[in-house]
Amino acid sequence: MITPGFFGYYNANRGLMAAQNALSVINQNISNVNTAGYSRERVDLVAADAYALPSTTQVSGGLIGQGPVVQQVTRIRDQFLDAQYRLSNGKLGSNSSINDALQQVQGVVNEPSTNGLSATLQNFFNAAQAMSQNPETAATRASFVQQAIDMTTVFQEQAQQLSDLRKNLVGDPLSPGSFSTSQMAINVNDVNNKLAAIATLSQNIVSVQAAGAAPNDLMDQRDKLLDDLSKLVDIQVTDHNNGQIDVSIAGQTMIKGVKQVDSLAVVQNTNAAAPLPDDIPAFIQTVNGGAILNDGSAPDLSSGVIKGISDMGGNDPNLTTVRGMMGKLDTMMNSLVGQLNTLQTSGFDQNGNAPPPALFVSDPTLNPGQTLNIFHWTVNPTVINDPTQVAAAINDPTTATGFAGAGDGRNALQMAQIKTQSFAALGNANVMDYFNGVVSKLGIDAQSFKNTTTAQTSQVNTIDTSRQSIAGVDVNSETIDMMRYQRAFEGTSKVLQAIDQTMQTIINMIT
Amino acid sequence: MSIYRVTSNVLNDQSLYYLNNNMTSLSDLQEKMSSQQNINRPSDDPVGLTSLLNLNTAMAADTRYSSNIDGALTETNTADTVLTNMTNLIQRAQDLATQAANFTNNQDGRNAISLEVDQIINQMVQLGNTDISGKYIFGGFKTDAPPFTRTGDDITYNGTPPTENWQRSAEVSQGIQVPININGDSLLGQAQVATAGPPLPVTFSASSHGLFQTLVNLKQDLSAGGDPAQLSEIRSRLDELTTGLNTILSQQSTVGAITNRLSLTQGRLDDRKSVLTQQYASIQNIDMPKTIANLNQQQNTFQASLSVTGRLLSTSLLDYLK
Repeated sequence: MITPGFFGYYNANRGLMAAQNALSVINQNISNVNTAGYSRERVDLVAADAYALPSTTQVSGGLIGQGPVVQQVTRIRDQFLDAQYRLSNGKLGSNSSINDALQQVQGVVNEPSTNGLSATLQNFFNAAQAMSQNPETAATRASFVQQAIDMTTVFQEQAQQLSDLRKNLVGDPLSPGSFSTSQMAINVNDVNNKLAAIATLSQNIVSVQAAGAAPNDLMDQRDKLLDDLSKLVDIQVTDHNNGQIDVSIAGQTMIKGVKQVDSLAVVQNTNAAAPLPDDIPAFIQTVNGGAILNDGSAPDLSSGVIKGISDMGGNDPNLTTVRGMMGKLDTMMNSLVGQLNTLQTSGFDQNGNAPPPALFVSDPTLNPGQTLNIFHWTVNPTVINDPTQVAAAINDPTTATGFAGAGDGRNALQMAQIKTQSFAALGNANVMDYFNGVVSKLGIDAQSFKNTTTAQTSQVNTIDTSRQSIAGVDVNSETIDMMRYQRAFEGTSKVLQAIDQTMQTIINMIT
Repeated sequence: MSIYRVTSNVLNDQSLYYLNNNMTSLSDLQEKMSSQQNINRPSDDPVGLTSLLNLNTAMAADTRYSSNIDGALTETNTADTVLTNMTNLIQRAQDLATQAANFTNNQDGRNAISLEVDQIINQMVQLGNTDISGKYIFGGFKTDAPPFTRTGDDITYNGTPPTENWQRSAEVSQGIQVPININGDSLLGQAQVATAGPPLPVTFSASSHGLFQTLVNLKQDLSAGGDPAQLSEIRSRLDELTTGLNTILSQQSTVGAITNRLSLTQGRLDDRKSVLTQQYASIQNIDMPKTIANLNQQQNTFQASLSVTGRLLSTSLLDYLK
């Protein structure tokens, strides 16, 4: 058996190249240790095809190894965990955006505090009580009117803040420009940008693969984009394992293979006959397919930040939404103001005039365009200018004229007693209890979404940790690999040296 | 989920996650400490918040009821003082009448007594027109003008007549109202001399001899002259004065009863206030020692996790390779 003389050089060459290749992959891994979405890579070395030695006596002179070759550089990633991560991430997205909005609603409602609605209502009823005791003094009447103004202001401030919050979330028909600056629109734009980037990446991946190379970094980037996208909307990804993927949102195909076929748009809900008019100011619509993804009928978004924003901007009676909160404050104020006006116009003012002007009037020029009455109620300017026109006295049938005197505060007392009066519009609760119920429900919802968000964050974190433990780079093990290949390189070099010396010895024999 | 392979970033991410959690707990406790309140927003404790709002409402309402009682007490105390003064004046009138009836005073003397009775009438009118910073307390609902006017020897009551609703009341607790005023007409009546002045309003009846009528009659009897018939008339005024005095005394006992009731309610409200305040505090005020202990514990935890993280993340195989 004769081994060709220079065979060893080529063998050593392969060994050195393999070690260098492996070291360069380790270099790539370590330098990307903090790159988000990077999956570690592994060099798969295989022994090169053995060389069959020619023989004069036998069929084959035997096989001889030819050193290692790099078969491929593998990207290590678990696609099952990716799918789990994206599912949880979507739920985290919707929960956390609802949680954020509810925290803001809690900020608007501002309870418990000494200047919230509860305290203001109490102040108003107390002022009515005080007026009932001393209706003939200008001070108690002025204070009553002032408290009525304060109460109106607090109602309207809160409604206005909620209206602004809703505008910021999903836009407001009163300022059409808000539909392109709302959080919903910003996130929808983000989705569209990411879809476009994913399609472009897919094209590059396919062309790199066609050239016979492994587009690992591009695939990492694409997976990172899909992760980010999964937080915004619920996506379904089908991997064709040839570099092409299909991406759909709520079942609507957005990317087919390497081509983006559809995108999302925010469209103002101008249809007055829509199932829930005024409830969702803006629709999320697929541009080509025309499907509305937030109108409560399939296909609809099931998770993601955009779904959370849409829910809080809508009017789901089971959730304390921004619109729902405005509606409840509105019902409450209408009941209260209505009853106060009924009492006011049934009584006598301080000077025995009847019927006195209404206490509250609806002024449509106040916050024009708003549909809820809460934005239009104002204390009657006539009464503000002349508080003697507040009807503190009742219509007393035992007197000749109905007016008992300036000291009659019985009507004012009835106004104060509205506090304990139940209203059908408020579910047979009085205003104070109704408000307590509303705030309590807000608290329960906010608490529950806060807890869910915390749990969901923990879940996403756990899944990501599992993913990291498979795909993440560990500097220590990379260092060990580095030492391994360094030694292999050194060893191969030594062998090469030995082979070279033997060759030299042979060459030196010829003199 | 067990982790088979702990990579560099797993350590980083986990440390960051737990440090964040610790920070959140720490900031929650710090918020409680600096606000001294358990509930700073509805989601902190939705059930506790409902109790809190109800307690707030009850306490604010009680504060108002307490002010109502204070106002009512001012009025009843004033009325009590006024009635005492009236009693003194009537007793003086009785003395004067006795003096005039039993001693054969000459007309000059009777004229002097008559003048004094006239002064007593003026003082009685003034007392009937007592006001508390502009609020006339004996006029029923007509509190904005003096209820009694004297023109010559005619005395008219302009307040709410007893035939109409005249009782003002104060709400002293949820749905409970206490009447606080007495009617000036029932107390003092009106007076009219047959010859002078315009006819009195329908409520006046000459037969009902209120105190004012008695006093005016007494004054006129005294100045009319000294015949025996006049003297017996003066004696009969003595009985009428006693009746009037009894009316005042019985009204005074009514006022006293109202004052008692108001004071008792005030006491009950004070008791309730301390109970409600206690309940409020038990929900909303933080348990200082517990919170401080928790805060310290949380701080230690945070520091421990910081130090562990610091040591863990700084270890690398690279440190040991030369």
